[in-house]
Amino acid sequence: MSQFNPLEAFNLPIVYWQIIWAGIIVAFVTVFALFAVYLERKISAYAQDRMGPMETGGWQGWAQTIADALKLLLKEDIIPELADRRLFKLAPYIVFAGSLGVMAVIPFGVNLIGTDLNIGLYFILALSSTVVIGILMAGWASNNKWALYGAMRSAAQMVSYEIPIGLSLMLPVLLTGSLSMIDITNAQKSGILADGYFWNWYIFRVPPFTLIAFILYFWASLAETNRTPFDIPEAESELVSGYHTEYTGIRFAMFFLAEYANMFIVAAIASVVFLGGPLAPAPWLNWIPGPIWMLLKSLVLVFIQMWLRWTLPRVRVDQLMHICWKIFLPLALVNFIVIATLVVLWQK
Amino acid sequence: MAEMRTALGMPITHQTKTSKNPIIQWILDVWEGFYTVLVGMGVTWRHFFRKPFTVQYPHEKLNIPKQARQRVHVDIDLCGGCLQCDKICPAGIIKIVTAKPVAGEDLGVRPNGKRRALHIAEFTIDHSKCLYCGLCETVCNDDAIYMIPDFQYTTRSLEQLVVNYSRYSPEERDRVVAAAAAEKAAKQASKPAVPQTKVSDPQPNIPSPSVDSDVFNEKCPGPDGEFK
Amino acid sequence: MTPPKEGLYGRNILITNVDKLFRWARASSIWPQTFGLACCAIEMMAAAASRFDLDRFGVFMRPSPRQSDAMIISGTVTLKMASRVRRLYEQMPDPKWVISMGSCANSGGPYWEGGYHVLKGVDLIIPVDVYIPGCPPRPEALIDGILELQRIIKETEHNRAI
Repeated sequence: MSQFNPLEAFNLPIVYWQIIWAGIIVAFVTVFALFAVYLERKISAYAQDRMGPMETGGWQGWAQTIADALKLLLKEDIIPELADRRLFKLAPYIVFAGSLGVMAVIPFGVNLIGTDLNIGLYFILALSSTVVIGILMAGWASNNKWALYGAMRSAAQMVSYEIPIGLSLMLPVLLTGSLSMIDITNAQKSGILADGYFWNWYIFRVPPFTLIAFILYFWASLAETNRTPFDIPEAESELVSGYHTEYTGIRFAMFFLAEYANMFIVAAIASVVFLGGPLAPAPWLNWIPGPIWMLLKSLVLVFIQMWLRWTLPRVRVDQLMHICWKIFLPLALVNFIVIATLVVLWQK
Repeated sequence: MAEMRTALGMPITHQTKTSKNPIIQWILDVWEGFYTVLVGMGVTWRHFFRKPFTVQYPHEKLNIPKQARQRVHVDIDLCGGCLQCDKICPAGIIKIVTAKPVAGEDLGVRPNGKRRALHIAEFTIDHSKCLYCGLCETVCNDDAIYMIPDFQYTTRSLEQLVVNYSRYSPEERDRVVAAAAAEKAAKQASKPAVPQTKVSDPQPNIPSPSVDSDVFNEKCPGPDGEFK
Repeated sequence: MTPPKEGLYGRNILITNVDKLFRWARASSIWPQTFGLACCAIEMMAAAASRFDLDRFGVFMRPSPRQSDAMIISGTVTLKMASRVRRLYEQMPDPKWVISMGSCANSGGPYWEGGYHVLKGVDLIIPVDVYIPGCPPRPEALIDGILELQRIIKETEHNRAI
């Protein structure tokens, strides 16, 4: 299987490549966010027997999110008088940077990656934790009680759900013996039975345990991205709109962008770590390039996130903590111990 | 018997597998939680493929029932000027000015066969205040005022919602009103003066109402009232 | 309003076209506040629900005034609520629009002469762009009002706070 390697193809110094890749990622995330908002509005509409955007731009309202984004850029930028101006301005960028930085280590092809860190997965977990700081900053700096409530809830929820996420992501790391995303991807090429088939992906590798780990990761990532059923940080019925209550125009757009970027990122991590990332499900499908498989798998997971959002009600704060500490954490721990034991036995 | 509760603390009301072993019960609860989420997703999935319920309003329209009360309409040709609608209107938004024809002037016959006895010099309805109760329609003797199912009259200013249904222009209105008043004055002047000598019978002394009538007469804060 | 300057900032092709694009963007994504006052709010909810689906026009309710462009005054504005309505209006970022929905919001409705507690028309405290008559107006009438507002936004040259 020959894969396109941009470094060899253009013979570029790696710094140039990283700068180009950063530009591509920013453009991709922006376009993806516009697309995902449109998709979400359509999916929510059809889940409720509605039609969603239909008028803007003609066919099926395709230009709806473009108009939304343009309008948000043109709105007045309000900073409340009593807000902490410096933190208020900084917070959206920290949230967005925390989300975007993770994209550096996500492989879109077997060789198509911003930078192949040997601590890739650890880097992802560490960087996505900084999003909490941005959200807390936003809530605190707004000088608004609803924003602060939302930020506190968000912090509590994201810090709690980091643990099941970390424990579930440790399973593929144990099976691979490496934290690098490229290594994890390549390890899913072969294993059981014939090479190159989908049953080599980690989700099917050790039947019940990795599947459970995948489901745990996926559910916990919903909490990590503040989406329903875990969207209590921006619960409209209780807090006006959570930590971004006081944000207008382009700063609000940054939060919006970060939320949808985050959705893609958690889906991309899940598809790399559990679903083989850029690998085709069967050898005779190898002619379709890796980035397309990667996008396809991620989009399916994003679709499931939206599907869940328009199915489930919001959980209470106590239920949220109950699910995390009494259900996800024990399951993740049992999974981890079983897989660790198996790995030790195999190595002997 | 203790009430069974799920892992989330909700009472179990439907048939579910239970166990006395807490660990097995925990596993059953987790499974049930997961399974019910799948059931819910199935419901949503079926809705994805249903035909949308939406009526795309400006392009396709719902049938509005004939008796729908969306707008007051006046057929001014039928109106006899009895002022019933003005009197019954709870909001007091109908303003009718009528004038008697001068002597020798014949206003003709209305489409329903009745004689036209009065000029309807002005018939103004302020649609912005109407509460669409339909009482005017009920009391109208001539079916001249009625509700129609037309709701498309959104405006950019309130003045456009004050509609005069009369066929008389303001100048004509002033003219007929003045003519009627002049004739009435002339008639009163030509009447023989009634002697004022008759002393009225002593009336029982009715005390004035004890309720302070100012309460009722006091003007409520108008648009330019206290609120600023 | 001062007339637009001729020359650099006058009506040259670039500025006119960009202005047109901006007006299209604003008209196509009117986000009103999730904010109802009385029975008209029920019709507003009905307009946003499956049967009439305001989302078709890009109208989608935002919980926070900071993120909304329009305000639908749906119902009786009591004197007590009037100051809140005014504050919510002031919290919205420019450019902003107001739709007055129903008789009570338009002019006090049935309370216009005897109501001791009702504001006689919301245009006394905030500038209103579109008046929708009805008590309450049908959801279609609200959609008509929103289409009228879109027309206003598209027609107005040099929108507020451009």
